[in-house]
Amino acid sequence: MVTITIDGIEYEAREGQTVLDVAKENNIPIPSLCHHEALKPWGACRMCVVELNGKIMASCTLPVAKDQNIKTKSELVKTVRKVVLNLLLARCPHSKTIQQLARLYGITKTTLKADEGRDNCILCNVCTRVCAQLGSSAIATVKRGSEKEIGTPFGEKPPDCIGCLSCARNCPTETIKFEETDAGRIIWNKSFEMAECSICKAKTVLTKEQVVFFAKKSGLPEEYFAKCDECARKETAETFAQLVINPGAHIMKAWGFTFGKLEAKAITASPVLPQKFERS
Amino acid sequence: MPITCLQCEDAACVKACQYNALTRNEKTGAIELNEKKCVKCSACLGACPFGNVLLENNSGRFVKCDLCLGEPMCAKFCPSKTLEYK
Amino acid sequence: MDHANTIKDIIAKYPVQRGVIIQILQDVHGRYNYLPKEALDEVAKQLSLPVAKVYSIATFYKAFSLKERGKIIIKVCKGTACHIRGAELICNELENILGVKAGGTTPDMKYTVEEVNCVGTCAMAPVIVIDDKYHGSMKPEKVRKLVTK
Ligand code: SF4
Ligand code: SF4
Ligand code: FES
Ligand code: FES
Repeated sequence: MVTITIDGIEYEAREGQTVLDVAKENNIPIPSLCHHEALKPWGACRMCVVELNGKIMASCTLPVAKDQNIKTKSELVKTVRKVVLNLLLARCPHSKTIQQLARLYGITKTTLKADEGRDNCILCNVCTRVCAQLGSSAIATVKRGSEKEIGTPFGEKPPDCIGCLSCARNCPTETIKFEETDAGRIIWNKSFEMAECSICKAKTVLTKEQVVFFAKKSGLPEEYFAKCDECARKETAETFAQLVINPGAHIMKAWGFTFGKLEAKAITASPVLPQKFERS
Repeated sequence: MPITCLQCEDAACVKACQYNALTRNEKTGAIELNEKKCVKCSACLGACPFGNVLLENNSGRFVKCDLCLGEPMCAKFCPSKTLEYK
Repeated sequence: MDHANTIKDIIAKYPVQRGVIIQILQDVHGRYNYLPKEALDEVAKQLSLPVAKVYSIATFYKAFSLKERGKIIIKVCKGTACHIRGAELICNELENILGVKAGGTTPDMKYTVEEVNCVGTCAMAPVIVIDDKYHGSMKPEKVRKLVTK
């Protein structure tokens, strides 16, 4: 445990935490764009800057240390955040996220030349990092300097993409577009079919690629993933019911690791089980 | 029959999550979903063999029973006191 | 072309560690004169790296070309010194002769014109480099002598 001071108040922090972690834990508002709690600190957007001994630091990559005296509201901090927002607003003048944040700092329009021909990407790399942590790494930054962008290999449909939509769902500026229908989805120009429930044949909420990938990654059987919630709950309910009616040893066994389709079918066929457990 | 999370010992959802967003609360024994760490990849939802991780359609959030952090409201409000939490 | 074996031989020259990817790509580039898609796919496969990562690195460095290039590479220096001393005129002249802009390759795959920023011989500005040979104090007339269609 270390004690650090933020805006004149002392806080207990654990070793290994960052200043931003401590601030978030204690509801001290620090804006952040490239930070995601599931990912390693990145330090790309510079939105989270704070002042330490007169110097400006990104709080998301700043480890806590004994007797740190952090300021989050000083004039210097405000000025730097305004500069950052002014630049971001020039890069993506139409991003709602950036507009809202800028307004908090009294900026409604960038003083620089706004870049109109671009999408809203701020190159925070949340999308690529989320994808990499999942183990897909289907997308990455392409080119560099002013031409840098997020893209797929060779600008084609990404072969490693499993259509999980995590990149799009976590993009702070909602730049990544996708389409969803009951039968499938499209992201990065790649079409995906949803996996079918092995019991009722209805479409599940996972793509076929997700089923295979998640099963491999977690070491769990694919059947787990290729089953809709309805059927899964029905199976459980039936097992429970059977357990109450006839707490036989074979059910107890079924309840263990081998709980699955086979036993469930046997239960459904049992005459004792009333129809009311069927869900429509 | 309503079915809710069984708080499995060797939970499939925890195994499936690559982001460490599902962890057991040692006090309540419940597996809790840390929304801030969740990236909404749907792995846990698919993994649960009992269908107990849900995607809230209108908010797009993933939810699961966390025993209301030790004081399950379902048991508290059950009018016939059929639900008990021990 | 058998990419798999070519790439395998190149990779075998290097220790298995992070960071050798750039050397490997340099060798692949040297071997093919550019980075063909199939070769990059093969590098990713053999190094067990995501294709996206390999592509990301390949597009980061100016030294790598993802387009097939001509037999002869003409680099026109557009660094500050050369720029001031008329690199633009040299570029225009090359375009007149070959009919391609910087970055382009003649249809017969003979020449590729590339723009670079300072090749380190500012005293000879403006400079062009034809197949690694430096030619200083360039003038449009001199270009015409050096490069014929
Ligand atoms: S949808 Fe595709 S690119 Fe996006 S995070 Fe999932 S696997 Fe990666
Ligand atoms: S697309 Fe979105 S998540 Fe990805 S780098 Fe750009 S702003 Fe960040
Ligand atoms: S949140 Fe700290 S730099 Fe982006
Ligand atoms: S600017 Fe051309 S050689 Fe230096």
